[in-house]
Order: sequence, then C-alpha cells, then structure tokens
Amino acid sequence: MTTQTQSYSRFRENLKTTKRVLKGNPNLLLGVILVTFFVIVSLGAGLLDKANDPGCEESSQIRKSNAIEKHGKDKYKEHYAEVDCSPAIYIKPFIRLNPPGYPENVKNVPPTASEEQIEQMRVMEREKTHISHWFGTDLMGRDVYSRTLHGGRLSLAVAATVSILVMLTAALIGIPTGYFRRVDNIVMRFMDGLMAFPSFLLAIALVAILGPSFQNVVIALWITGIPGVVRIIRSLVLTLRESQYVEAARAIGAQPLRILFVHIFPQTVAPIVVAGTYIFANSILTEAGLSFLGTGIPPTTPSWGNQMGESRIYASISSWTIFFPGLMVALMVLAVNLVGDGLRDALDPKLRRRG
Amino acid sequence: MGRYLVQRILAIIPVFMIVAITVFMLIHITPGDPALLMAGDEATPAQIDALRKDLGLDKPIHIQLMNYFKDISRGNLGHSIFNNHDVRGLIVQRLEPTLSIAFVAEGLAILIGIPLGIIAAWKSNTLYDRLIMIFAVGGFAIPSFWLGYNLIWLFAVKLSWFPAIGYNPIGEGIVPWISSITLPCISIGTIGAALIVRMTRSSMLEILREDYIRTARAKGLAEFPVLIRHAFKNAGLPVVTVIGLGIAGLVTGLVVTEAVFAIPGVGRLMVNGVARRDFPIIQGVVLATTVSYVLINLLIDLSYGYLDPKIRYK
Repeated sequence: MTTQTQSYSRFRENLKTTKRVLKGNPNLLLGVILVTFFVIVSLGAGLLDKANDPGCEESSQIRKSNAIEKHGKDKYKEHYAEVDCSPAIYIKPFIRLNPPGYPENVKNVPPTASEEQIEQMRVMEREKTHISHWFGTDLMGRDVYSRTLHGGRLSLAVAATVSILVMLTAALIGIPTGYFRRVDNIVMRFMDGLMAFPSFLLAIALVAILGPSFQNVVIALWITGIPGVVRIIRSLVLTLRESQYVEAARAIGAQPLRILFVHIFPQTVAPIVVAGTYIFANSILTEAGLSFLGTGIPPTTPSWGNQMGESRIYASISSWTIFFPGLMVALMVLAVNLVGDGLRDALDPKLRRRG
Repeated sequence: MGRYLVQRILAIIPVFMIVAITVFMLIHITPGDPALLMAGDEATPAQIDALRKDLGLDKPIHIQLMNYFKDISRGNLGHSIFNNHDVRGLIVQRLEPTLSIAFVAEGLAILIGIPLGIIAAWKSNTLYDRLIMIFAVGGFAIPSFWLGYNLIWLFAVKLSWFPAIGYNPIGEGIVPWISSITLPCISIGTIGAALIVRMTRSSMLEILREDYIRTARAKGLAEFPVLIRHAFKNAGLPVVTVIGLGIAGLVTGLVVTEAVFAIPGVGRLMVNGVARRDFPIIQGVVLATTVSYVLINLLIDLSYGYLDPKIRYK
C-alpha cells in the first residue's frame, strides 16, 4: 500500500516537473507535439490511408478469374485492369502522375465490372469528390499521400533503431574509455580515425558494399554515428572521474565496475539522451539521402528517401512527388532537433540559452 | 609555435593510418568473395579469377594491405573495374565542378551566416533574432537535395532564371558558369549558413556580456566597431572551427546535389561507382575526400595559432 502511494506521488512529482519544463520552453513543447504527431500518423498509416480498400483483393481476384473464363487465358489481359491492393502501392492503371487534388480512384469495384464500367465509375467518383489524392499521384499512379504516410514508418524505424544502438554502444565504449587511461589512447585514436571520414560518404560506401537493405542502412548509420557520441561521453567521464564524490567512492574502496555503474553512469544518461536525439535527426536525413541515391532502403518498401529517389527522373514535371516526402523529412528533423535543444536546455541549465 | 605545429602534424599520422586501413577493409567486410561481387552475376569463373588476380585479392590479407599502403603512398588509387580508367585521373578530371561549387557554397554560407549571426546576437530576443533563428533551425533540418528540387521548380521551371541542370565550365565564360552553379550552391550552402549562424550567435552572445565590451560602449565607440573589432574578433574562433567541421556537411551536400543537378563532379563519380559496384572508385573517392577533409581541418587548427596568440604559448 505504502509503495503504491509512494510511486503515485513520485509519478505526480515527475508529471509536475515535466509540465514545468514544457511550459518554460515553447520550442520543446512544439517539438514534442510534432514528434508525437508523426509517430501516431506513421503507426496508424494503414487506418488513415484512403487508398486502403478492404474488399479490393477479393474483388480483383474474382474479376481476374471472370476475365479468364470469358476471354481465355491468352487474351484476358486486354479486358482486365490490374489493381494492386497492398495499401501503400495501390496502382491505378490509367491515372498516372496526377497533381494533388486529382479525383478519387474507384473503390469497391464489383467483381463483374468490365473495363468500361470501371472507367465510368471513375468519372462518377471524380464528380462526387473533389479533394482526394491530396498529394497527387506518382509515375505509376500510386497515391503520394498514402506512400508518404507509410514511408514515415520506415524512416522512423531506421532512426529509432540507429539512435538506440548508438546510445548503447557509445555508452559501453565511452564510459570505460574515459575512466581507464590506458584504454583511452588506443580507443580514441581509432575513434579519431573514424571521425575523420565525412560520415555520409562512409555510410554510402558501407551500404554500397554491404548491399542496400534496411539492416545494412542501420549498420552503416550505426558505425558512422558512434565516434561522435563516444567522444562526448568520454570527455564527460574524464571530468567526472576527477570529481570529489568519485574520489570519495574510490577512497572507501569501491571497485572500478561499481564506480562506473553506480556513480558515473547515471551522470552520463542525460547527455547521452540529448546526443541520441541528434543521432535520430541525423539518421532521418542520412537515410533519406542514401535512399534518394538508390543506396538505401530498396524501393519495394516506401521510405521518404526512396520515394524522392524514384521521382528524380521526372521531378521537373511533377514537383509534388518530391515536395511532400521531403517536407515530412524536414518537419520531422526540425521537430526532433527542437526536442533535442529543449532537452539539452532542460537537463543542463549551464548550457541554457546559448544557441 | 614550432612545437605546436609539429605536434599537430604528427597527430594526424595515426588518423591517416586508420583511415587508410578502414578504406582498405571496406571491400573485405562484404559477406562472401569481393571479386565475385564486383564481377557481377554474368561473369564466368575465369573472369572472376582474372579479376581476383588483377586486384591482388588472391594474396594473404597482410600482403594486400602492404601493397595498398605502397600504392596510395605513391598516389596510385587503382583502376576502375568498369572501364579500366585510372581512378586518380577520373577524380582529377571531375574536380573542377565539385571544387567550384564547394568554394562558392562555403563562401556564400560564410558571407550570409556570419552577418546574420552577429545581427541575431546584437538584437537578441527581438523579432530579428527570432526570424534569423527560424532560418538557422529550419536550414538545419532541410535535406539539401529537396531544397535543390524546390529551387529548380521555382527558379528554373516557373521563372526560368537559371538552367535546371548541367554545368558550364568556367573556361566557357563567367556568366554561364555562375548561372549553372547558383542553384546548387544555394541548396548546399544553406545548411552551412545555418550552422555558422548558430555558432556565431552563441559565441557573440557570450562575448557581448564581457566587461570590455561595456567599456568600449561606455567610452562612446560606435556600435559597428564594437561589434566587429571588439566582439567578433574574439568570437571568431569557434566560428572558424564550425566552418571546418561544416565541410563534412558540404561533402554530403555535394554528393546528393550533383545527382540532383546532373553535375559531372566527384560526387557523381562516387554515385556512379556505387551503382556499378566499382569498388576501386568508391575506395578512391572516399580516401581522397577524407584526406582532404583532414588536411583542411589541420590547416584550420594551425590557423588558430595565428588567430589566437594564447594557443601558441600553451
């Protein structure tokens, strides 16, 4: 009973602190709201996606078999319009590369519908609804809005995985490195070597050699992200190990492992989290750049980067295919940076209002 | 000063070693046989064997590493697998567009970033400051290739002020050259400018709080010399560091922006190399770029001695 009340009052206390911090920093609040928005939208992409038509698969199966029955196996293709029903790649056979606001694609196509009937339904739909395909369609007639929604998932997944991996490994490397002087020299020389690479270039080279896939993009961003964070943690630990309370712990005979875990590690958590947010933002940008160049996530799964990359060739006639995914990248990175700056200010009052 | 110089120069030798080893190891981290990967799916076993022999991949790894060190110390970056051209030659050929965009973009970033940063610090917490910081925070978040496409759409497609893509060598006249690199430079320079604005502002804010600035103002000095001669002179050092670090961002920008604007530069060489799995080209470009990045930052480090006499005597 008492522990419950205790934990509850602790929760209230935390909530109060959170409120105070958010109130004092409108930028942080804006960032948190934007990030929450993006996470919700990406997780709920399937629900928000208008092109997602539950009966689509069944109906196109039946239409196909009807067409085969009617026209024979060789000729049915002329009378059957292929509709891809996977939510993010909803191919509309005739409407291609349309600007935002172009009339709606047909839904609930009855199994018996012929080609002409579908076209008729499409015309009717156009008259009925004026705003659909908010973001237009791309070269293959896919809805840019729905692809952008789904693309967010992948971009966020990459960034989240990378930033968690980087935070963990950088802490594992950085804390002992700062504490044990003998290791320091060797590890930091190695980190300096890795830091010397312009990180984007190293990331492209790594993905090019490992092969483009989700996993390899994560590996490349992970490797290029580590040295910077290690350097931050290490310099922090260097000052912490000279501080009086660590000296006191050493004086009463605490083992190095205990000092690292109990006394030093808690002090490094806040800066690691702040560094993690910058890694997160940077991963979104880098993933977008890699996928844009075709050395990132393969185009079968939409990500903001490869959506823009696919639109490269015809970008001058259809600005919308690049504008919307890029806008999402910019907003997301902006939001995460705002959160990072806000956290840095909130967690370290010394650095407040410096830029 | 001499000691400082020698120390700094000696410190980059291990960095170069690690960079070279990492670049060498790049082709050995592939799952499977690198020769098989490079030769492609349609190669016969004899072709793969020939390629392996040609690249020295049949030798033990430490011998390969020694050979690699020997090669790069002579400036030999190997041959392209795709068309057998000398990699160093290919890089040198494509240096002009890349360097001209890099220099103009960085210059633009400095020319825009420093004054804006000074104004933001001078007028801190006013509307000017807010607007400039919106630019700085926003410029940091925008992918440069996305900005590039939007610039193309506005200035090339809608307004037709500049050519949408391509590069005109400087030898063919200054005006076509400038008009062909304007849009790429803006799209690359924005992120650098944002970085410089933030650094200039925060470092100026700190200096403007100092007593000697108050003294300078109190003795009736005009605001402009106070800002420039007294404050910025001392606030400049971190800005110079950030300019050096910003070159990594410049490289990122160049690689993607050259793809956007179809500029035949080193970045395109890299992207084409990646598309064709031409590993010697990838390795060569990464090595050359990294070495120049390290050297530029070394020069910047060394310039501290000149900019800030305190460092010399440490």
